[in-house]
Amino acid sequence: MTERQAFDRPERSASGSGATVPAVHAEHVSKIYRLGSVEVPALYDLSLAVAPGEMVCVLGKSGSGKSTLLRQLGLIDRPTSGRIYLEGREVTDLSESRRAGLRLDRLGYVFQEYALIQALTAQENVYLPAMMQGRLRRECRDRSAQLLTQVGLGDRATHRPKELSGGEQQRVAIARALVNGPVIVFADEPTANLDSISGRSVMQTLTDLNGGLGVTVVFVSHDPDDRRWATRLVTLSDGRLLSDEQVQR
Amino acid sequence: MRALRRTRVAVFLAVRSLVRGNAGVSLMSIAMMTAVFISVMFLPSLIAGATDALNLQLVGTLTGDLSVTASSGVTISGATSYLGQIRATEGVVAATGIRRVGSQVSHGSDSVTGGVDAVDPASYAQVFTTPWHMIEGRWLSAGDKHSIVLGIGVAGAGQTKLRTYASSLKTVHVGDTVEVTLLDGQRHTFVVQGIYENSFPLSDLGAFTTVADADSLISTTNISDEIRKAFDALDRLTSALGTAADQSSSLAAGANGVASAAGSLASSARTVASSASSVDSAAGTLATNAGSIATSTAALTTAAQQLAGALARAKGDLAAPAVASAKQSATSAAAVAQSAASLASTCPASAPTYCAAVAGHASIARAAAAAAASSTAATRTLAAALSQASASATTLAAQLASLSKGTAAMADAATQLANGTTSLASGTKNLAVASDQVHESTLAVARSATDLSDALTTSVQNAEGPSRATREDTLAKLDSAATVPGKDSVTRIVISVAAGADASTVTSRLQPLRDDIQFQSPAQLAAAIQDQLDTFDLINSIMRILSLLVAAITVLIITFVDLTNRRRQIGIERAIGIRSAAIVGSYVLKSMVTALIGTILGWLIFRFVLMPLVLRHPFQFPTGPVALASVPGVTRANVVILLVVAAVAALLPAIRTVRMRILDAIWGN
Repeated sequence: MTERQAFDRPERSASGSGATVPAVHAEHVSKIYRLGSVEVPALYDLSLAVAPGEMVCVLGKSGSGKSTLLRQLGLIDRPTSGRIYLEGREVTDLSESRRAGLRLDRLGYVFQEYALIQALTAQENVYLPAMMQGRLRRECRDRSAQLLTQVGLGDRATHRPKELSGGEQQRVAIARALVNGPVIVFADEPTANLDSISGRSVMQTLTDLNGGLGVTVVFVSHDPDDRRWATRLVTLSDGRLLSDEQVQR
Repeated sequence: MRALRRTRVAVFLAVRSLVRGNAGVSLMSIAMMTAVFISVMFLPSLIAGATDALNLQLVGTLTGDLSVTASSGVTISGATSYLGQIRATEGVVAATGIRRVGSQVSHGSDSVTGGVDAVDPASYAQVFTTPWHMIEGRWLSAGDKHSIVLGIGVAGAGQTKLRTYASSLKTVHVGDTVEVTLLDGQRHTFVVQGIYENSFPLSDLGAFTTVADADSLISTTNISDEIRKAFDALDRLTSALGTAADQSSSLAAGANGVASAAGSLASSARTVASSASSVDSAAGTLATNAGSIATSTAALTTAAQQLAGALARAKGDLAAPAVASAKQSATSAAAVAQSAASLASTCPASAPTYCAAVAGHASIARAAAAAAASSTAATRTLAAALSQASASATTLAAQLASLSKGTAAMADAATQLANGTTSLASGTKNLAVASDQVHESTLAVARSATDLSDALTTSVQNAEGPSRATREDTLAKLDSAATVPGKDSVTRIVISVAAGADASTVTSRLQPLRDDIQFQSPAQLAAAIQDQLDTFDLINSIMRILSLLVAAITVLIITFVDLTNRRRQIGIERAIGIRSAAIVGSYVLKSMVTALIGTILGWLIFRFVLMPLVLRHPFQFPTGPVALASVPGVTRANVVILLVVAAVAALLPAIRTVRMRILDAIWGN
C-alpha cells in the first residue's frame, strides 16, 4: 500500500468502531532525544486522541514534554515509537514530502517565537502557504486580507514583521496557520512572549476560530490561566499523561 | 503543475529576499560577482585587444585584407592587367602589387638579410599604412631613382633601444647610401629616402624601392634554367660515371682475360724458351754446316770456273783448227772426188780398166770427200759441243759462284739464326718472366677495375639525385618560383576590401579571373604569430578557470553564510509546508539573480569605465599599444558560465540545509 493510498483511505480510529474519527491521534507515542551518547526521554508511551472541534490545552511544567507532543502531532518531528493518525489515517512513516503536503493542506502551526519570514509583509506571510498550494494570487490576497481582518490586523497587511508587535506577529502567524483551511491548528505557547493583553488577544483569536469556524485547536501553555480558553485540559508530567479532562470554557 | 507552483513560490521568495532581505549580503554578493565578472572579462579582452592590435598591424603593414599569390610559385605575370581587373571588382577598395627584388641591404660592414620589395608607391599607400608611419624623410614617389625606404628594424637610425638594433644597419639615416643585393646577384647603391616605424617588428624589417628602379636595375635570370643545367650536367656526369663503370667492369673482365692470357703466355714462353734453346743449338750446327757448304761451294765454283776456262781454251785451241782442218780435208776430198768424177766422166769407154780404176778412184775420192765432210761435221759438232760445254761450264761456274754467295749468305744467315735463336731463347725466358709479371699485374688491374666499377656504380646511384618526376615538378615550380619577377610580374598582390564587405565574397568574385593564383586571408598568413596567440589562449583559459573557481567558491561561501543565517527561516518555511524544492529554488534563483546583477554591473563598469580608461592609457606590448577589446561572444559565455556557477554554488548548501531536521533548522540543534 502506497503512502498516498494509506493517507487517502481512512482507517478506523484506534479509539474504536463507531466512534468519531479523531482529528489527530497519538497512540503509544514515545520520544527520546539523543544528545550525543546521552538519551533524553521526552515522552513515554503517550496516547491521546483529539476530536474535531475541540480546543485542547496541553499543560505541564517546563520539560514535561508539551512541545514535544505538539511537534509529533503537528508532523514536525517523528516519534521514536508509537503511531500518529491524522483524521484516522496513519501518517507516522510518511515521507517528508508527504508530511510537508499534510502540514500545508491539513494542519496549521503557530510557533512560540512568531516565526514569520522577515522579508515578507504580514499579508505575504499569510498567503505564502496558499501560494504553495497553488492558489491564484488574487485569491491569496483576498484570503489573507480576510484572515488578517479576522485576527484584527486588516490595516497592518503591508507591514513587515519587524514593524509589528509580538502579539500582532503572533496573530499574523495564526492567520497564516489558517490560510489553507486546516482541520487542526497547533499552537506552541502562543502567548509565552507576549504581554497579558496581547496574550489574551491571541488566545481570544484562537478561541474565536475554534468557536466560530469549528477549527480544532491544540495549544500548549505553561500558564494555568490559559485553561480558561480550552474545552479540554491535558496535563503532562515528565513525558507522561498526568490528566485528561473536559472543561467548560 | 506542481513544478510550476514550486517555481512560483521560489521566485516569490527569491525576489522578496533580494528586495527586502539582508541588503549587506546581497550587495556583497553582487559586488563579488561584479569583481569576478570583470576579472574573467579583463584578460580575454586584453588578449583580444592584443590580437586586434596584431591583426591591425598585420593587415595594415603586411597582409592587407586579402593576399593573392601564384598558386604554383611566387610570380604572377601580367600583373598590370590583372591588377586592373581586381580594382574593378566589386568590394575591392584598392590593390597593389609587390615584387620581391632584393635579399640583402648593406651599409659599411653591417648588413641585414631580408626582403627588398619593389612597389608602386601610390597604390601601396592606398593599401598599407606604412607610408603614413615615416619617422625620417618621406615615402617613395614614382619618379624616385635609386631611392629606397627602410624600416626602422633595418636602418637602426641610431635608436639603440630598439630590440632589433643589434641586427640592424645601426646608424643609417635619410640621405645615406646603402648597398642592395638584388635577386639577380647584382649589387646596387641606393639612397635612403625615408625610414618608417610601424611599431611592429615583423613589418619594421622591410625595405622598399620603386618598380621603376627595379625595372631599370634588375635583369631576369631564370634560376630554374641554371638548376636545369646543373641537373643536365649531373645527368651527364652520371652517364659518364655509368659508362666508366661499365668500361671499368669490361676492363676488369679484359684484365682478367689478359691475366689469363699472360699466364698462358708465360707458360708458352717458358715452352718456347725451352724450344728456343734447342733451336739455338740446331741453329749453331746449321751455321757450322752452312759455313762448310759455303766453303765447298766456293771450291766448286773455282773448279767450275777453271773447267769453263779449260773448255773455252779447248774450244779455241782445238776445235777451230780441227774444224778448219776438217774443212780443208773435206774441201780437198771434194776436189779429189770432183777430179775423179771429172776423170771418170771423161774416161773413154775403151779404157774400161782405166775407167774402172778411175771410177773406183773417183768413188774412193767421193768416199774420202764424204768422210772428210763427215769429219768436218763431227769436228764442228765437237767444236759446238766444246763450245756448249764451255758455256755450260761457265754457266755452272756462274751458278756455283752464285751458289757460293748463297751458301755464304746462308752461312751468315745460319750464324745470324744461331745468334737469333740464342736471343730468342733468352727473350722467351724473359718473356715468360715478364708474362708472369703481367699476369700478376693484370690480376691486380682486374681487381682494381672491379673495385672501380663498383665504386662508380655506387657513385652513379648517388649522383642520380631526385627522381625525374620530382625533379620536373621542382623545376616546374622553380620556373615561376625561382624566377626573378619580370617587368610585368609581381610576387604578390595585396587587396584592401571595402568596409563591410566580406573578404570571402570578394575572393569568390576574383576567383574566376585567373586559375593560376591563390588567395590567402591575414589569418592564413599570420602563422608567425599563431604561437603567440596560442599562448594567449592558454593563459586566458587558465585565468578564466581560476576566476570562475574563485567565483564559485565566493558564491558558495556567500550562500552558505546566508543559508546558515536563514536556517531558522528555512525550518519555519518547511514547518508550514513549503516544499524543499521551492526553498532550494529560491536560493538558487536568488544567487543567479545576484550573479546576473553582478555581471551586468561588471559589464557596465568594464564597458564604460575600464575600456575607455585603457583606451586613453593603453598597455604597451612588444607589438605596440594594446587596448581592451569588446568580445561579445566571450561576454555572453562568461555571463552564462557565471550564472551556472552561481546556481551550482547555491544549490549545494541549499540542498544540505533543507535536508536538516526541521527542529534542528528552527532551534539550531
